[in-house]
Amino acid sequence: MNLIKSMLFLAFLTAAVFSNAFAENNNEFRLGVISDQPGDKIEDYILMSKYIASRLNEFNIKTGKIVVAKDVDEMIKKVKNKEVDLIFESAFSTIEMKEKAGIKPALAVWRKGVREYRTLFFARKESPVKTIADLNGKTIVFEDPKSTSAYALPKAELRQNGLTALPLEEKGNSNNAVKYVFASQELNQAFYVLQKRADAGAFSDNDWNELSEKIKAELKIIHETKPVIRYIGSFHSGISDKLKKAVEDILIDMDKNQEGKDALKQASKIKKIERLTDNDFKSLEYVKELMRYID
Amino acid sequence: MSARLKIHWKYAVFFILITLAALFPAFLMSNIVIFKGLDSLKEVLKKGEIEEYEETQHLAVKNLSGYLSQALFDPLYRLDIEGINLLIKQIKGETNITSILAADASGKVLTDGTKENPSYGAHLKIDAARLKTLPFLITETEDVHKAVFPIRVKENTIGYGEITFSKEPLKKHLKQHVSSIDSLWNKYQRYIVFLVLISTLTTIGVIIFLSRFFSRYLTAPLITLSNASKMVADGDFSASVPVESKDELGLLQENFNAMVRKLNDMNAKLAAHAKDLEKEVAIRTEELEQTLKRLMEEIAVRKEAEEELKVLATTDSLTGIYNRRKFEESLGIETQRAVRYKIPISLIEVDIDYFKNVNDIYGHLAGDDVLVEITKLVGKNIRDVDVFARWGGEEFMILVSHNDIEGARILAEKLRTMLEKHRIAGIGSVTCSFGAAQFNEGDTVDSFLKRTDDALYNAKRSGRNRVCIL
Repeated sequence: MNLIKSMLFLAFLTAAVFSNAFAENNNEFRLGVISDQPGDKIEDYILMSKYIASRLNEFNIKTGKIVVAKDVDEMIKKVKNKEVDLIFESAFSTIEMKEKAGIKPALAVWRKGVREYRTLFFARKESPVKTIADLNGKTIVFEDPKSTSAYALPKAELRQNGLTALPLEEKGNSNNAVKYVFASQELNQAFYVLQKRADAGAFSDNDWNELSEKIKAELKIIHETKPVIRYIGSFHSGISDKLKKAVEDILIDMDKNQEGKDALKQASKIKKIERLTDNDFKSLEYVKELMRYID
Repeated sequence: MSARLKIHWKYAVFFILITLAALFPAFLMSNIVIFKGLDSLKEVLKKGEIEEYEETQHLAVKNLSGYLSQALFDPLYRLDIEGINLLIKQIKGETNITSILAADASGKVLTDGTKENPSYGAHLKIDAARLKTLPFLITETEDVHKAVFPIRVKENTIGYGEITFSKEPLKKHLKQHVSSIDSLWNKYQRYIVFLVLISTLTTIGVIIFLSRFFSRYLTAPLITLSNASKMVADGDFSASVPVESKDELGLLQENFNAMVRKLNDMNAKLAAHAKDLEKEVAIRTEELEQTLKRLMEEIAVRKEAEEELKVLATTDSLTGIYNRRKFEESLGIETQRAVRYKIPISLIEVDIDYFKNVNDIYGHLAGDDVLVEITKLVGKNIRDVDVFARWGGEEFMILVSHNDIEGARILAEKLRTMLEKHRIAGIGSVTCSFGAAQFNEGDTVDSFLKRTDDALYNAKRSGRNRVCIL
């Protein structure tokens, strides 16, 4: 009986270990994204997931799967639970997940055709605000608390530059702080500044380029951050190097065939995917540095 | 059943067709009237459509201005330009609005709803004073309708909006509508033309049919009847016409044939009768000819007798020359002619000298012979135009026309000489005395005769065998 019990125990352990096994062990490749609208994301990335899975037969992978987490914390849990093989996320979230769950950034994703961005700080052309330092005691308009380029990054940049950023409604010594408000949309941020509801605004250089020339003509850029990778592909640390290499190769080659192009286009209009360079890793270090200033 | 209802079906058809043909102009006229009416209606429709569309657009401007005045308030208040853009995009997608501009309280355009936002910074022409009380102000140009409205809640105006409606869709719509009306109209016109064409062709067909019908059932039989009548009029009773129908015309044809047959019979009887008459006439003619011949013979005999009587009446039975009565008649005529035409005429009276002695010595027969011989001698020596007659006993008269007294004297002398020289067998020489006179103006027959006789008397008294003139 003891022998039988021992064998049953071993079988249980084996099952427990392999129930959370990685792609090559459970016949599916799991692509993780963060969104509060899982349906949309699954629809966006399903083609890419299948594309990848269909090229991983040698790893005994049959299907692709989209794993959607509502936020970074949930994704961290999923990473820790080995529910995801590859995660696509912004630089800030990637750094956070790297720090907390050990994921390995590997790929620069040209999301919406953009590889990297800078956050620009702008003010009205005739405004006395000329540098980021001049914002002390002024009001700045951000887009949305969930935005990286138009909230998290500029807020961190302000703090890194020795300024205190506080919500407008928060009571305190406003003369020694930059008060901030949200305008919901990048375009609204520009109008907040133009209509003097705020002294400055901050959003990505891509958003700046989207502004009409007439509006840009009434604004001026007073500061810009270092470049930040727009979107990053990171592997679970438990993925074998061989599988990691194989997936990287597949993703990097996607823009070279029509099926791959279609899948990229459907997945947030990705133009192409590249391996991260040394400069990219430096950029990530910069982001990591900034994250120290984020609440 | 009245007589009117006994019209043969052919004539009924004929009259119906005539009526149809006559109705064609009325149909044509009514078509023209309908055509004109619909054409006017088309214009009214077009005009009505334009007015209705403009009214609709005006209403749309009013409603939309009212709506946007409220709907833009919140996003403009929050400076949610993206929200405004979304709203503009939605409205523009559902209407034919060319542009919607949202401006701040100064009238500066913040957005036109597009990403490029080319209208940004422009200033709307705001009549703020009027817009305080009015919900919108509309201006109109040739191409657009523009409505400016305040973005406000109650009296709190935070900006202005401007809606521009292009008239192009209106024009396009109207063009389509007018084109559709015109298309329908053209279609209808084609129908009308087709209808008129069909009607015309039908009418022509009816007229051709009528003419053939008329020709076949009325004219041709009548011409045949006319020709047959002429034949009958010319005496050819063999004429007949075919009876082609049982209608009135057929009855006429039958009656005509019956009439011709009757005429033919009568003609035959007349011919037979004429033949008898001819024989009778021939006999009578023969008789008449015989009678006439007899009469003619009798007339000839009578004429001969008459002539004989006439000769006897005018001639002397012994000598055969004119007698006294005839000479007096001729003298009367000639004297009248002489007076009328102023012709000279003369008279010679001849008397045989001592003729009593001849009778006494040689007997009356010898005396007659003397008379006859002297007559012959004188007759031979005068002109044919001269009138020579026995005046009585042994006296003769010679009327010499176209001769005056001198001519008469010469003639008388010539005759005296000739008679003097002539020897009558058994008797010897016989002389004659001559008296001559010329018919003068104012003479009568009697005075003329008297003077001649006086001249003869002178010749006798002067010893006979001489010529005396007066």
